[in-house]
Amino acid sequence: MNDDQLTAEIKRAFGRYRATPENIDELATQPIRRPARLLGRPATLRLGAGVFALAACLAIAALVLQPFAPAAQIPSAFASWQRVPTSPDPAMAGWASSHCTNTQLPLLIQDQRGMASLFAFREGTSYLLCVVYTVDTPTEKGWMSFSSTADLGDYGQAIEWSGIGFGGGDQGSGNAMIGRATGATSVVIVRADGVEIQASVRDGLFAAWWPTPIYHIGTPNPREIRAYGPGGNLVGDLAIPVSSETPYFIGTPPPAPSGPPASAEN
Amino acid sequence: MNDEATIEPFEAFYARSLDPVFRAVLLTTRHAERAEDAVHEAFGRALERWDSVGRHPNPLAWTTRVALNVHASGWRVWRHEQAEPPEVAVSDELPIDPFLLRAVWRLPRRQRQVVALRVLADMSAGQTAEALGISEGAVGAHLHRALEKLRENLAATDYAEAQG
Repeated sequence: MNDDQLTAEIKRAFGRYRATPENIDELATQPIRRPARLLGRPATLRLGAGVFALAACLAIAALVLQPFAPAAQIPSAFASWQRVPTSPDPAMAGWASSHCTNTQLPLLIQDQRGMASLFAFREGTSYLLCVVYTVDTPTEKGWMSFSSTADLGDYGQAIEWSGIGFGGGDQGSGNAMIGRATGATSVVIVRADGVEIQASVRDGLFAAWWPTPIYHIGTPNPREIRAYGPGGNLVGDLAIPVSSETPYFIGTPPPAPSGPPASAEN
Repeated sequence: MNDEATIEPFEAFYARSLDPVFRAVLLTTRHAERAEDAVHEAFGRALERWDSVGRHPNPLAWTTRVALNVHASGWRVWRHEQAEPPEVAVSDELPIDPFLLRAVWRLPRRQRQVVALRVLADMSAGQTAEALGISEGAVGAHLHRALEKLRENLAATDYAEAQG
């Protein structure tokens, strides 16, 4: 079977799959049925795109605006989050290597915090970020993963970073960040609310994640990244303009707005 | 590019494009429900902007790309990808079909994406390259490898054995 015949056969065989047509009048008012992530953004250079993406999501999905939500909404696996990484779980890393990717990508860094871990794999010139966390409910037990890709720019700064928001709904939400800090052996991420997060660092790359309230769809909101060398000396300090975006929520927002998810932190 | 006088009515575009876009997104996402959600949302966006999308050189490619972006905007939950293609009974099924569908479904991700866009959505190599963020050369290489792999895999199936 030559290429043309084979592609014709593929097309014919897949012809059995048909979508259910929607009423045209209702198409334009389709709600977003899943949480949206924002594009990864190296520092401020892509912030505009993120704002635009969020605005587009808003216009289309009519997401509900609410202030930051209470920590009570954070699910159990994320509630074990800590500001300092915990010992990497090798079993979880093994699971991630076979479940986060379908092509055995090289694992660059693992950022374990309690019962959940962020993995960064090299995928070509990009990074595949995968958050794996424990699911333990009456109907499910095991590990669950969210994954997405991120790119690091090369803008000549000592510190480059990219962040994404993930999840939503009952599975939990969070922010994840990967970055590059030349010569750094430790990195501290200062969140907009002042919380200082010790990132996992390996070979000049750093990674960290933190939970957000369940329905929160927002930007990773660090205001500063500080990188330290082997002697504890500051080798990089990147101030990041805090986004003025109001955090957004998808689905039913938490009932009682309050402060940041401080109770999830140790 | 369509001009003002020849812009296709959205209804006609929707009727002819819904299924090809769905098939491409289905194969890319390997999840029927998520694919359908993403496709409907993409057509909704196309409808909202039909004055400009209708003049796009290839509105089907535009919509397919938006649907894939919509899908990508939710984090992938790999565990929920469907391991097998959905079973849909059709009266004109050929003996090769179940083997072919399964073999395509199991292609490596990039090869599957290229087959979805180039073959099922009839996108050009350039449009496919742009949608996937790879070069046109890479699109050709992935498609070539995909077809080679499909031939290999089909040759190892009961179907090939039955064909003698």
